[in-house]
Order: sequence, then structure tokens, then C-alpha cells
Amino acid sequence: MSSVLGRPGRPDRTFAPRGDIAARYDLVVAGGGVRALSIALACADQGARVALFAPGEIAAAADERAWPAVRAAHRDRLRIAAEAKAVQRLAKLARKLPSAAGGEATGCLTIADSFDEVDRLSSLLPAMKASGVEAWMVPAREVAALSPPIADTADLMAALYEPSAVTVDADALAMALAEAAAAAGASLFAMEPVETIERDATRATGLRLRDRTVEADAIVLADDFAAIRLIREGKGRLSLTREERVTLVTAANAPAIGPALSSGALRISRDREGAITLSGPLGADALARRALELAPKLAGLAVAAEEPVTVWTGVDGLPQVGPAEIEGVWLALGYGRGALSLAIPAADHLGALIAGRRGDPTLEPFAPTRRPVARTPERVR
Amino acid sequence: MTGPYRLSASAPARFGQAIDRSEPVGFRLDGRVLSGFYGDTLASALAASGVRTLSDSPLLGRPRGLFGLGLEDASLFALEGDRGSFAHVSGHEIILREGLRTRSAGLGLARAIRRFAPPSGPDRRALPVAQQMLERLRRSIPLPQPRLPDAEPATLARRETCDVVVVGAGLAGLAAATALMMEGLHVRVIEASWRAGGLCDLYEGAIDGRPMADWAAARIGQLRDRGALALGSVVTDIDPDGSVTVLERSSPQQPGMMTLRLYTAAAVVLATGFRERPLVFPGNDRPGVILASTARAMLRRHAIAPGARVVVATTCDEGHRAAADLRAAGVDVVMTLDERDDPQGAAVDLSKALGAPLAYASVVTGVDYDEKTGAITGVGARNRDGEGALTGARVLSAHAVVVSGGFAPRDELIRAKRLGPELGVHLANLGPNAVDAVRGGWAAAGAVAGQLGRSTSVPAPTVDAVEDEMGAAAAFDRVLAMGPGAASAFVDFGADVTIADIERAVRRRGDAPAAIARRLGLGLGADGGRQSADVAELALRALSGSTGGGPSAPRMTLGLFAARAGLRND
Repeated sequence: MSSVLGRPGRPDRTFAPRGDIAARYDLVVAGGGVRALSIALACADQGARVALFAPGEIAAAADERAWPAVRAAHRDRLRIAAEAKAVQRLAKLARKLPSAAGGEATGCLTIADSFDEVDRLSSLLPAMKASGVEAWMVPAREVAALSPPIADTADLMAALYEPSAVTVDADALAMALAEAAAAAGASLFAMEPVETIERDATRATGLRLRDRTVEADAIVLADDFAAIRLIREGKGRLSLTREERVTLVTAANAPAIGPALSSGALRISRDREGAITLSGPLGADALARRALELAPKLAGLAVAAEEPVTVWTGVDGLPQVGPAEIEGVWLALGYGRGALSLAIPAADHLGALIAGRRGDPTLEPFAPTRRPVARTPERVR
Repeated sequence: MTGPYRLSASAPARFGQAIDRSEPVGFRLDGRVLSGFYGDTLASALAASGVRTLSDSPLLGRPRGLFGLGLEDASLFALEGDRGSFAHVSGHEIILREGLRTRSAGLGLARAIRRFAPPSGPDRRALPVAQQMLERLRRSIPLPQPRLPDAEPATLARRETCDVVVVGAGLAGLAAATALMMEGLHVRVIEASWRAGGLCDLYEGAIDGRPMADWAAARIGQLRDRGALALGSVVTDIDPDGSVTVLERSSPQQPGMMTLRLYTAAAVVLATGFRERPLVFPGNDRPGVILASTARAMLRRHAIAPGARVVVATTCDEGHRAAADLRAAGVDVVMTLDERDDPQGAAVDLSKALGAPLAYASVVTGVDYDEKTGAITGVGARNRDGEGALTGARVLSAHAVVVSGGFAPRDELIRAKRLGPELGVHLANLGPNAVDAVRGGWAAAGAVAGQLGRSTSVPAPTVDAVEDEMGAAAAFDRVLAMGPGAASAFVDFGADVTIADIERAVRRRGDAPAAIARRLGLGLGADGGRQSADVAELALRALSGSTGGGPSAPRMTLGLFAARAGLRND
């Protein structure tokens, strides 16, 4: 049946038992979310022997689930260029995955919270057009029409609307990527934290796990928390800013919010079951208050889960994707709040770089060896 | 009669203590006119009227009947005219008065669709086909959007201060509050039910020479005189900084009107008690399967028997106690199946002395349910671990199954955050019996007094009661070895999750308990996973070796979070 539908079959066993850890791999990935899995898949598809060691579960990470939208209309010019084709690439990848993991094309609304923000978003439109992103500014009335729950907000401003953005089911995507990676020959190990990076004089040679050492030609660090510890222990330099956020997930069958919403630091999305996910910087109470200022009609929704999330960004607000200063180590860190959008382009870029080919030029500015630029501070309400 | 029924007036006096048979009360449910007695709750009046199915399960649409009490109940009702997220309460919390109009927590159109096409995807939370078509249609054709709920009026929110907050007004909570008041501390006791005292009226025993119910009533009166008792109030959150978020209801006539109170207390005593664990067998969610403590509460308080012929299945003493009560009420207890090899205990000794039919090392294998009448017709029983001819498999003819799988503490408020005595949160849940409850409450009060710098010199009250054990849950590998149909047993009633679902999820997702709990929706039902106690968690641990997915505390709405934000900022 799966061959009739054009999907490859599922592997017999997706996750490998601990006893199967070999002594040597071509590529080792440290991390357990969609970012790490997409990198493992991209490299396994090229024929390398890949192992993935996740410090916790192999499922979508908390910051990926906080706002599971894949979109190209970012606030940052460089990320617009990098994520311009993210939606199309996700669709193309989803067709090749063993289980259904595509998202729904809900669209994405970036609502401005001040006139300066409106100007800033409008100034990004030419860059978006040049990269081929279909997005435009919509007035407040159309924002209210697109998303009925925020129709009652007192001073609603214009917004940036991207109709082709996609809300994915992050857990389903992670599962599908894991199955595809296992089918391509990668070995996935859950609950295997990495202790240190083994190095000799010139380069990194492998990873030390809890009770054994694994040698590898290339090591990819896709887990921010672990990467900071590993690189700093090796006397390297790695600067990432952390932002502590909270995710609130409501019960199912909440009213439709239309496109995925983004306003300042607040992010709102809705999954197919109808559960709304809110994500914001201060505690759960402040997040709920801010969300209700935006959408007062959501006040009656019961909150089913509350989860603290840590979101990492590079010091200058840009991710760090590419070769690290230590030879043999590659970084895929600092994706920021919209982690899923950059996951697949970065995975393809890293896969090409590790294989020795030329990567994606739009991701060159994210190389970790760049000189960091002064970062513009963001006001948090 | 094959369903629950009211005992006749000639039954022993200790059954039906809360009702007054000379005062009939009429009420309406969804327009139907029904009647009960003064002192009945909605659930007991429905049982007396022969209504077996109280609600349908949200995901699969299976009929559900009387099972748990209070916050553990997933069959919710609302009073007519009452709106809001907290309007839906258990049928046991609605006390009848003349002319009461109630409705069952509605089946929306979405649920109606779901019943016809239950989800069959690899993960439980995939939408059924009909709903997918609806969503796709809605996106392509501009169908009129469903009307959004009206914005609720902002909840009243207030800060309160007191020395100690005691969560729960059972025996442990009353003992702790009494001891603390004797020290001169300002105590506030929060109880979720409208009836204080917990289950103490169901047990024989004496405290300081008085029957337990009398002692408890005296303590409750004392608390009420000082205005220290808050009934119908739910604690939703305890913070490490010592603030307790309580949702208080002012009157039982309007359960939807909640006030948020943020208590700043120097110490918190958690006296929430224990909840009874259900047994796991195929068909364990059918109407007619009832927990032993619920059966005894209905029997003693409202003179409702679960059926004319009953099978009792238990792993602890509580089931034997229920069997004794049922026998005294004139119900035919066909067989008492005890999973243990050699049970010891006061109630078991009584059953043995009476020569009642007992079967050791036996378990229930399934239930024969008749869809048309909605009644159980037979109960399958078997030796616990035997094979072939030694299993002694037989089908007992019965109308109800009273189950008891042991007790699990209600500690979801502190488990997620790992609060402990060093943060001022003291646990008074020592054991599911009166002796441990009073002792635990007194000890917790002593610890609090020590923390606040007062020395305690008050002697604890003497409790003369039976010390029950916690009772162990059934081992899951035995459940799975029962046969091919065994995996259809439910482990989370509110979210309709069976053992087969967990097995499939573990096979697919490997060692990822949090992700599995998310995908299956464990703890996301109307009862928050509380009705099945910690069965889901035990099943997950047995099948995948990792922990996760326990019951959750009562939920707050976004509006309440925002109201609390306003309080914290001021």
C-alpha cells in the first residue's frame, strides 16, 4: 500500500538499543529534536554512517514545539534569505518521508505592536520579494478578518501576512524524520548524553558517552545546552544568549485562530486537534495576560499543560550553523524562536559542507567563525 | 433489576444515612423529570431512577456510568443557566433541591462526528476522517465560522494571607487543622467537595472514644465557626515561594462562579488523601463497573446498591469491606475475587468467618456487556497465573463489578515541582486508613509548628480503627498475558487510552515517555487522568521502562492566569 502511495516503507526498528553502539562512525550528531534528526537524515541519505545521540528523548524539542510554524517572512533580513524556500523544501521532504508529517498551510501573521515596527516590517518587503517570498502587509481590518479571536483588540496594527506558511505537527515530523533516517541506515540512540568531546592535538576525534567512546570523522552539535558545556570544557569559545520562555497548551477544540500569530515576543499557534499553543518570555501569568490583551475571546480556554522552554540565539541574534573553530566539529545552534523554519535548510547546508561540497550561500552569514555584529536590543512588553 | 437500585426502607439503618425517605424531591435532567429524596445527590438520584449511563466518553463515545467520586469523576453535569469553564461538576457534587434543572456536559457536534468514526491512525491524536474532511472543507470554502464564545467577565481575584493552608478536609486535614489551631495559628482549610470529612463516615472506628463521623463533624463545626473552612474550592497550584492558588466557589447553586484567591501562607499541609485505583481488564470502563469506595459511599449515604447480583474483585481489603456491606444490604455477592494468594486483614477474616464465597489468586478477565440494554450480563474470572485446565476460567452471572486496585496518594500538586518540607510543604498522606490519616495530620502540624518556631505539646488523639494497607496494583505483564483481548483494557478513562494504544506508541516511539503521553493525550481528559489514579503511569513504566504521564491537578483557564498576573503585580 505504501508503494502505491509513493511513500517508502517504515523501517523495522527505528531506535537502536544501547548495545548496538559501534566504535566508529562517519558522522555523529548530538541532539534529539527535529534539527538534529534532519541533519542525521541529510547525511545518511548521502551514504554516510551516521549515529545520533540524544541526551533525552528523540522527539520534537520543547522550543520546536513552542511555535511549530515553518515560514519565510522573518523579521531579520538574513534569515529571510536563508528561509526563503523553507516551506517548499519541507513539502518536498514530507513527500519522501515514511509517514505523513506535512503541515497545514495556515499562513502566518506577524502583527506589529508599534508604528516603528510597521515601518520596519514594510522595509523588509523588497528583500522578501527579491528572495521569492510571497508576503505582504495587511491593514488592521484584514488582520481581524483573518483571525477572528483578535478582532476585539483595541489598538490593532497592521501585520505582515504570509499565506503559504505552514504549521506542522512537530512530534509527527520528528517521528517521520527518525523513521526515514533509520531507513537510510542511521542509528538513533535515545537517553545517551554526551560527556565530552575527545580531541587530539589538531582536531576532534570523537565523543565520550557515559561508558564508552565513539570515534567519528565529523561531530555535529545540534543541542544548545550540551554544546555550550562541551565546547567550553574544551576551552573553546561559544556565545549564545538564552531566553527563558513558557509554553502554555490549552485543551483541544479551542476556536480557530486562523494563521499562526506572532506579535513581539508572543507566539500563538493551533494544531489540528484544536489545542492552542502559546509561547512567551515572562512567566505563565504574564503570558496569559499578554495573550488576552491580543485575543480576549480566549479567556475561557482551560490550560492543559505548562512547560518552561529555553530558547537560544547567537549573540548577534543570528544562528550559528557551520564549521566550528575546532576542526571536525560542526555547529547547528542558536536557531532562536522559530527553530523549525531553519531546520531543513540548515540540515541541507551542513550536509553539503560536511561532504565537502559548497553549501547554501544564503547560510554563509551564519558561519560560527564570523565576527559578531552588535545586536539590536528588543523591547519585551 | 439489572442496574443500580435504591434499597427498600427495611434495609439496615446504617445504609441511607444522608437521605430522608419522607421528603421526595423532583428535578429535571435535560428536560426529563426525575425524582429523588432529600439529601440525594444528582448521581445517586439518577442511579435510583435506574439510569445506568451517565455520559459518553469524549473520544470513542463509549457509555460510562457511576465510577468515581468528586474530582475523580469524569461524568460531568452542569446546572441550567450556569456557564463558564468550571460549570461542569461531578454528579456527586450537585445536591438536589426541589425544581433543580440540570444538563449533562454536552456532546458537541464534533464529538458526535467522532463517535461515528473513531480515530485509527498510528497515534491516538490523529483526527478521524470525517473531521479531517470538515477542516479541509472549511479551508477551501468560506463556511461561516462557528460563533466564538462570549468574552467571560473578568474573574474576581484577591490576595489572602494566613499562617497555614491545609489542602483537604478529610481526617488528616481536620487533625492537622485542629492541632494547628491549638497552637494558635491562623489556618485555612480548602476542600474540593461540598461535603467535608472525606470518607470517614464509611468506616467503623473511634477517635478519642467517639465515632469517627462525630469527631469529624465536631472539628468541621469548629472550623466553620471560625470561618476557616472553604468548601467547593480547588487548589490548582502551589508555588515554591509559598503562594497557593485556590479557586473558590461561593455557593453550590452556582458552581460556575469561581473566585481566584492567592493565599500567601508560611506553610502548606497537603492532606489530600488517597484515591482508589481501578483494575485493568477488558471492559473495565463499562457502566456497572464501580470502585469499592464509591459503591460503599452510595450504599451508606444514599442507600443505592450497584446491582442485584454483584462480583467483587480486589487486591486489598477495601473490596472485602464492600462485599460485607453489600451482603448486609441484601445484595447477592456472587463471588469475591482476591488477587492475593493469602490475604490477611480484618475484613477478610470477617468474610471467611461468614463463609462467603471467596476465591484467592483470581482475577477478572472480562465483562459481557449487552449494548441494547446497556447492562453487564456476565463477568469472566480466572485463576491469576495458571495455564490451560488449571486456569479455572468461568463466567459468573452478575449485573455489576465492584473493583478495588489499592490506593494511590493524590500528590499531583507537589510531584511535578518536587516540593518538600524544606520549602514549607508538608505531606500528611501517610496511609489510606484512619490511624495513619490522623497520625500523619498531627505529625505534619507538628512539623509546621516547628518550622514556625512554636513548640508543640499537644498529644495526638487516640484512634481505634483498622489499619488498611495501600494495596498493590496488578502487575501489567500478568494483565497482558491474559490473552489477545486483554490489551483493550482502559488505562486512562477520560482520554480513552487503552493498553493497546500505549503498546503501539511505545513500539513506534521508543523510549520517549513525555512524547508518548503528549501524543496519546494521557491526562488530557475531563478528569485530568485522575479517575484512573496512577494506572496509566504504571502501564507506561511496565511497557517502556520509563516514568511519565501521571494524573494532573485541576486546570486553570487563561483568564485565571491573567487575573493572577494582575494580583502578583500589585
